[in-house]
Amino acid sequence: MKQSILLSYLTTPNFGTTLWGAAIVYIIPQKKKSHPFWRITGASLLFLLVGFWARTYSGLYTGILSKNTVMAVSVFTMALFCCEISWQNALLTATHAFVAQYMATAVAGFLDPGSMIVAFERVLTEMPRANPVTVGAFVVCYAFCLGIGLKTKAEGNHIVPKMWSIITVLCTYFFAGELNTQAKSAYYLCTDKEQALAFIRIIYCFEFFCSAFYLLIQANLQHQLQMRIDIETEHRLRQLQREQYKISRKNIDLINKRCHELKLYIAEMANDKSEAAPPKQQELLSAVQLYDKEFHTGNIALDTILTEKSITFSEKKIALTCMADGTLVKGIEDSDIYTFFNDLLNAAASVADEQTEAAKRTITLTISGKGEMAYVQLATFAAPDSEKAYRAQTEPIAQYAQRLGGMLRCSQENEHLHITALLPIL
Amino acid sequence: MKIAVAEDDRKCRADLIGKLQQYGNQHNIPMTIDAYGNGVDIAEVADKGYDLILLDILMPMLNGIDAARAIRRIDTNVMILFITNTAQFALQGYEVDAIDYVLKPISMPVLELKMERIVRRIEGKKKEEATLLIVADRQMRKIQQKDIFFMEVKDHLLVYHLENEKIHVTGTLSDIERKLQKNMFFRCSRHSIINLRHVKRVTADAVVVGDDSIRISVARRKELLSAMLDYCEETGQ
Repeated sequence: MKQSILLSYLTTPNFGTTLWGAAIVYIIPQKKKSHPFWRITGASLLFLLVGFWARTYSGLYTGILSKNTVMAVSVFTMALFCCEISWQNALLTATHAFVAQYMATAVAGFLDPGSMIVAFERVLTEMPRANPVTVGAFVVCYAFCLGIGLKTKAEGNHIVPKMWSIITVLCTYFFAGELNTQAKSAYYLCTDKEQALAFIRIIYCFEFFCSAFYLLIQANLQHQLQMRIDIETEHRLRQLQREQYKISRKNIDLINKRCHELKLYIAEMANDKSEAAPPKQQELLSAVQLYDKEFHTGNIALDTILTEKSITFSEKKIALTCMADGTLVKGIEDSDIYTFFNDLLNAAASVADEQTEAAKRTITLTISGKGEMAYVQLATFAAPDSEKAYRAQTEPIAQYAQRLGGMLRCSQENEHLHITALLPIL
Repeated sequence: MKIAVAEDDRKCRADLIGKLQQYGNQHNIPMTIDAYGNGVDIAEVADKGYDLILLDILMPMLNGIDAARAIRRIDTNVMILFITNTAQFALQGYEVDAIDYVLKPISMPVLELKMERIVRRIEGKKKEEATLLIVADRQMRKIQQKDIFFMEVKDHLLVYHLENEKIHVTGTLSDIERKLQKNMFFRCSRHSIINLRHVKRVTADAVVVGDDSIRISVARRKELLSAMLDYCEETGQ
């Protein structure tokens, strides 16, 4: 919120000239990779000189400015801001440049104190010409925007919502712009109508770029906040999946233990003639075998997810065949393996589940090595021409693979859906 | 396509051969299928140059896994597809570089799914046998494309990097690129073409081919991974 409020204040027309400083500083780091302190100090000094020159000798603010110069200034500024500016860099440099601008004014005033005093006197005498309604509206708008900012902060957010940002900018643009234009017209003694018009054009140009700059920074902040939220959500999700993985591991161990006990019990029953009839025993044995599906690939996380999915898929009458060398993915964190293959198999199961023919309710997974990478192949049956839908479904997994430094791809040939992935062995 | 089926159960074997022939007829793939009743018999004829061997895991005398080990000692290129009742045994398949396994009873759709991949790989492996004629030191040389690790332009010369040798020739990468097998090579930059067969790993800004690291841009990295997936799908390597 501090940034938002600061930006709200910075977007007053006074800030206009500071954009030049920001632009200069933005350009300098691109060319020279010196220490940020020297870059900023150097740029501030440069801006100080430019400001000093502009205010004292160039006649920029005394009305000798041609229309073409105004246009050139506008186009150049626009071109600068069309570049992507890192908001932190821009904000930092703008603040420095803002200070530098006042330093330039002070230097100009110091060199020619007489003209400064006259200028301030004129501002004070000319200011009442400003429309009281405009001034009032400006104050109300700022108070309102500040209130929104505080409310946003109270709600636990860090930045002002986009809609209020736009309102703030518009208020600044119309009311503060009007107020400052009048004040500055007086300040720079623009008595000539043409001079005043040219001056107003400059100020509105600056206003426009300030607004665009403000929105750009707001958009950046919004984007960063969204990213932060996404990262936090992902962390939470990974934490949950880590816990889920531990629970699954425990459950599988328990199932295996119980399965073993039951098999022994059935064997005992088979030896005892007085017990249940053999067909019943067979039924019982096959029921137990449903849970006797532990995979041994050489990777405990992979074994867990494959065993878990195999049991789940059995209940859905989906056959999972897997040939994998688990050691290939040993460099990847257990929770990542669990998450990746969990999502991958779930996506495949949702496709296989749509098949009505029993023979087509099958998923084949193979993991083999390619250099120091693991090559994952998954094949299943899918409805024809539905590749796009499945690609969308596997998009989050593809992003996950990308995050791990690999790639995942989904393709369909007739009714065979193939999902292939390359994962680096870290 | 030369196929061998090793299955002790006669009924099952006949059913499998019938399905394979049906697949061959449907996809216009000429097939010669030999049948064997145990693991010892198939291991003895492993040098017959089969493209594919279907091996039952539970067989008398020599089980499928051991038979596959014996086959691998003779032929490292043949593709092995296990046939099994239980998935647990088949997990050992990767030890003998088996392509996959199929659960009994074998259904036609599942066999088609597996065969599709096998046929693609056989075609991919044939492509790898392609050769390249180059003139080095005024002598004509024939090199197998799969033996090239990467090619680069250095000091206005074209350098072929092989496992233990570097061959310097005159020419351009673009001319050579046209002669190379598609999907087997990838152009990393204006100065280098790599053989996907020998890619060890892809880092954030480089690709490691053999023991050499070649720089790659972020945009090309994505294309490289995609090309590698194509290559893996074709050859299974």
